[in-house]
Amino acid sequence: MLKLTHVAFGALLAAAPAALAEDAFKPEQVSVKETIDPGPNVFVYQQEWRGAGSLAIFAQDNLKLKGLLPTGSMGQMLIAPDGKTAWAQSSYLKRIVYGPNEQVLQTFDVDKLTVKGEAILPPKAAMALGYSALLRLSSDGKLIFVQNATPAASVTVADAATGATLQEIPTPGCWGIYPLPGKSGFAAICGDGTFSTVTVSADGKTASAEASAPIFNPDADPIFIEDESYDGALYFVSYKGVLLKLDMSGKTVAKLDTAELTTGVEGGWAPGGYQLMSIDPKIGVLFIQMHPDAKDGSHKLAAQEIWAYDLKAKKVLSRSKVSDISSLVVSKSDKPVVFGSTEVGKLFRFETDPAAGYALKPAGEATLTGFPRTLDLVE
Amino acid sequence: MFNLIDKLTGWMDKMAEGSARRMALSTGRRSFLAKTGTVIVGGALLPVLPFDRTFGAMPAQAAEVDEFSCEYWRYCALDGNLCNSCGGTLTQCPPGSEASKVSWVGTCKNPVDGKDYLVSYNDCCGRTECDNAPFCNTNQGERPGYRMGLHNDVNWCMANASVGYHCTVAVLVGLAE
Repeated sequence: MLKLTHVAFGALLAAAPAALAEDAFKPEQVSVKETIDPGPNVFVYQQEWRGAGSLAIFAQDNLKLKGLLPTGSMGQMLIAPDGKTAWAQSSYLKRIVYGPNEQVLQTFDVDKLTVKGEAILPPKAAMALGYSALLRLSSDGKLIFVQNATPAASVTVADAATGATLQEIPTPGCWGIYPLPGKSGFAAICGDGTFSTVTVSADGKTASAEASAPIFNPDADPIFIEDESYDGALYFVSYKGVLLKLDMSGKTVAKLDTAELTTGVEGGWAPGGYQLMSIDPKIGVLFIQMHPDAKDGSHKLAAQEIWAYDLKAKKVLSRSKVSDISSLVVSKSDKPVVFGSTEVGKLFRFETDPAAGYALKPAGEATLTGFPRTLDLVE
Repeated sequence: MFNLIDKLTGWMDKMAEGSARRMALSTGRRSFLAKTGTVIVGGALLPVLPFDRTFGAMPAQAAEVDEFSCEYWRYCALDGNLCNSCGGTLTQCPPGSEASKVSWVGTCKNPVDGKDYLVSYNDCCGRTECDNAPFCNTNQGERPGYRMGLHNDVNWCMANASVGYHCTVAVLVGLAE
């Protein structure tokens, strides 16, 4: 069939007048598009445990895929506040699933989708599921903090401009990285229910740590490591649905307030999932993934509802039914848009109705791959 | 009847490749079976089912003593693929892989003797992720990384020479006090 087609095509060309052939057909040139399409982006880290992961960039308004950035396996992503630079920490095994492991901090140009830099990290970076608290930028944007686990916990401090490692800070029994507001350093959640405040010198090369008073009870009601900032405070939520409002600005972390999300609600509802909550600071509303009939071990279950919770009035404004959302992020807007990922390969876009307590209304979806547990966006 | 259930469960396990695996990841095995059962009951398989109930109502006792089921009692804090369905056994890594040098621990109640046991969940390492096996995500007593010994969202092959995650075994290491 192929040969016949070729013969027929050749005969047609031979028979056609040369001038007519030139007018009718202009050969195309293959090229590479220089930049991604303009407009605000949603970033999703598509983690893989058996090969290359990727950082996917979607248009916020219609979820059109603008492109992918390449990473190794079992990685984490980090997006700069201006959305122009991204980083990833990931593992490159010599034979993909065995052999020596090289852990790399990559720096990406988001507009051009290029790898701007690579730095080899100490071979201790946590090979963990995607959590935004495991790879962080200092509040002045100069340092990158990498969560390590050997399984002893520590944090590698790297220069954000070059990726060069500056020091490793032991953080025994503590986990997660929460950059301190207005100064260099971070806090971490510790297994005894306290927080450790780690202050890092301006050059990033030395550090000192101070423990807080107990903040939560890790036996009776542990907290998730997902954090959200609003109104100068940092919020966490417990397995049982207690919202903690913390002050990170002092010498040690202090508890400002608590609120129970599920007071007066029937059905045993509790928070669950991975990146399970997000705050729109413009309206002071928390969007959080909830599942019913909660029990010991259900804390990773995907959401059956997303609740919109007014942080000032301390009340649930709306409850929207969803399917299997395991991570979400919300835009910073008077009329917020919620983006939620599932572990069955979907990214959903929901518009909200301010008149209906910011109830969610499906408004688009896209395909994801891998384990898409971390999302970020820049307006 | 249990043979039939085993057959159906085995068939569903095969389905667990790819996207179904991810659904189990997010919804839990029991919910996954119940949902899949609902689809089947509503579809062409209904006439051949000799019993009128969903899989979610399967007697707990049978699943709790079946080491190939995610509801097997030792798997109460598991998050991983079953090595006994990847060429290994309940306590042995598959040939050619390495047992992890470090592990997380769960406390699970044995329904037969009523005692609580400490279960070491060792990952097996240096081979491709074994998605042929059932993926179980039960998480009882699981804590974030600030209680690292109870945490299962990290790769416990981390201290091995080859860190590729393959599957997980469940080894009884003691009685809980």
